[in-house]
Amino acid sequence: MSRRYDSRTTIFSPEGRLYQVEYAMEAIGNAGSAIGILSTNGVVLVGEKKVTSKLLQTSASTEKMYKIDDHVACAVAGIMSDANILINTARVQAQRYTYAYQEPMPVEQLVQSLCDTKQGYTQFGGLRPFGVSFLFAGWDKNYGFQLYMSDPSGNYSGWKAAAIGANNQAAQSMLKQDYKDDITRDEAVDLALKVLSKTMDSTSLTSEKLELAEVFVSNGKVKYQVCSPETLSKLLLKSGVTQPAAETS
Amino acid sequence: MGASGETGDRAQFTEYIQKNVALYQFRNGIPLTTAAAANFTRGELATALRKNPYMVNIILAGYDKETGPSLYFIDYIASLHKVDKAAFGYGSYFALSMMDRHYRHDMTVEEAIALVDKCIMEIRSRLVVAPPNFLIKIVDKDGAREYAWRESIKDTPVSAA
Repeated sequence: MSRRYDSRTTIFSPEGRLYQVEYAMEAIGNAGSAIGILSTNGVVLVGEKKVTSKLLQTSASTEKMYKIDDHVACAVAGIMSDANILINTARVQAQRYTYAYQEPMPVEQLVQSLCDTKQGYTQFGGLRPFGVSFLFAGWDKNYGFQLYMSDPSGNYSGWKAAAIGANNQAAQSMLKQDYKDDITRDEAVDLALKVLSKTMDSTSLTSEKLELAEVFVSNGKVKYQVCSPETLSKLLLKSGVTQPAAETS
Repeated sequence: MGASGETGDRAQFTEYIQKNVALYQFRNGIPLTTAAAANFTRGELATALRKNPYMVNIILAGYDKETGPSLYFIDYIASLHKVDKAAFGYGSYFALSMMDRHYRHDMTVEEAIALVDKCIMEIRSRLVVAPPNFLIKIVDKDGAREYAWRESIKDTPVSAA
């Protein structure tokens, strides 16, 4: 094992790999999964919540989904504390752009800018990479609705449907089979819930274990909406993912 | 961009803005909208204002596919206004009055050139220190180009030695 090449981000291994970056991706492979699907009239993000406890105060904050700007949101998989730093960085970058140009930042530029930050931690400074993968969902006037996935190496690409976190290869291949180019937002929600239910470890899916958010245009403005638990339960029933509550005998 | 003011600042600042606008397009594959470029320009002037101001006044003209042509008035203390007509300098007093009298928002390009010629005539006859020659440029869907010169004093061609 090339143990002597893996403790510093700033050196390659003899096989030409950056071990620290790969270990970061390992960390994400153990985290709660998230799926994003691009549809004709919006982008859907669904995330699996790992921290489920009755004691958790879930009223205000979300665990998986974050709004970066009025027209961009993201889903997170990996180390939450690392994610918070990067989300704040992304928010500042978006506002800095709007301050200079008085226009919303194009989604790809925001993703690229954040990924440039992440890349810095794989090349200099001697600091470890961020253990977070993102799914960015947004709308801009250049390319309409977009979905981007980025990982700890600072690499990113645009996707029609993507999965990050635990079991992401299984989810990705399921998405490849069932995705069609003219999918609507409602169909995308349905597909995301179905795929997530198959790849999640838990036996039954309830609205407490999931987060669902959508980015769409309404009244000429871009809206980012997190689904309420009640609506989510109804959606889960509708797509046949949860069984209706059993009658009490 | 039409600019007036301190010669060195004028050249340096306008080239700086031009190259940054070009860089944006190279980096991002899409051009900056006229509004974004105007706000960027104003921002640069504003940042320098309280340290080392650029003594440059700018009239920015642009054409965007989605929104059509637009004109921005940016003065040396970083005011920004989206306008239909603008003028800077001592001649502006005469030009603006002429435009107030004759401008209509639904003018054609030919009518606008005629109005520009009226303004030039006013400046020539009324301004004590009027410049002799004027250059008219047009910005439209095909980009920016020189349209015509209005010369009082023509360059004499220099014969070969």
